[in-house]
Amino acid sequence: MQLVAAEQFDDLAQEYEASRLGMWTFLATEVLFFGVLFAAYAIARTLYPEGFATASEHTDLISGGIETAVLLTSSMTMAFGVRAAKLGDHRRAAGLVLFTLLLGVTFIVLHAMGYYHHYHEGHLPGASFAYEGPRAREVELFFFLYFAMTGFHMLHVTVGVLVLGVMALMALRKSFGPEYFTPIECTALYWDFVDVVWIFLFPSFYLVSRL
Amino acid sequence: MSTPPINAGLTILRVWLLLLGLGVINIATAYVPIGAWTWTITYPIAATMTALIMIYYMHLRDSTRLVRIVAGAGFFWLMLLFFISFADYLTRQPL
Repeated sequence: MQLVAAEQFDDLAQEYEASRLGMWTFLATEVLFFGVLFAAYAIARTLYPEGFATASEHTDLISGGIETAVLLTSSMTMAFGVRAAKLGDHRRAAGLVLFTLLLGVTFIVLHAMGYYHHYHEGHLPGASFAYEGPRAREVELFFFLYFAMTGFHMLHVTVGVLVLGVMALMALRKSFGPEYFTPIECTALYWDFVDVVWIFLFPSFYLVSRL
Repeated sequence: MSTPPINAGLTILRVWLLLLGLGVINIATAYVPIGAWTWTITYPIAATMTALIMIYYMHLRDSTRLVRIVAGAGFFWLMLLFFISFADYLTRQPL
């Protein structure tokens, strides 16, 4: 636990600000990363609205809704965990971070089950694509974007889960308190960002049209 | 430092309930008969949920102006990307 700022900083407050600024800069690069994928999606949906509406009806809305609730709740538990860490409540912080981790794992499992279901239905673009219909190519394009974008998102969730594990260990070792909480707060920023990406993925693939 | 910015427990809970409520409204929108225009409702709702998370959970409300500018920079770049890409696609004429 550091109570003295590193030598390049004037004081702890400036060091904390620098860490937060750095984390937000990284998140801005993540916006770049997902942004181009969303732009590709937006263009494809503008060009083929009926195909995307048809394809969207083949996604599992219940599973997607539960995944959304799971991630939103995990952001809440993470916020409580950071709060506990700042207050010096080590065990509560570790417990809440672990619960957040469990919710993250729940999301991964649910989504992986969804992938398997889609593969079984013949929605995986490529050799095994088995959808027959007037807009088959557009549906295939939809599912290409679905697997690519939610796949990259799931990768980010997995990395987040690993980092959450490290944070839980640090919390158990009483590393955090009112003086030092930068790692857990930066982890929360990352986790909240991953949640924000899903908040936009969900309407993009599950809520195009359900009529 | 003296006092780190801490969210009150009630604030965290209220934001969570708001997020869940907006999520439910979002799901309901898919069943409204407006065909291809669902995005005009679902994406603003998603943007509202994002704003709630960024302001409260990600502490933008007690961040310095510099941090808020960096947070907005990604969004600004995204708008540039969408605007210029759509300016291309929506103005394409058949050869």
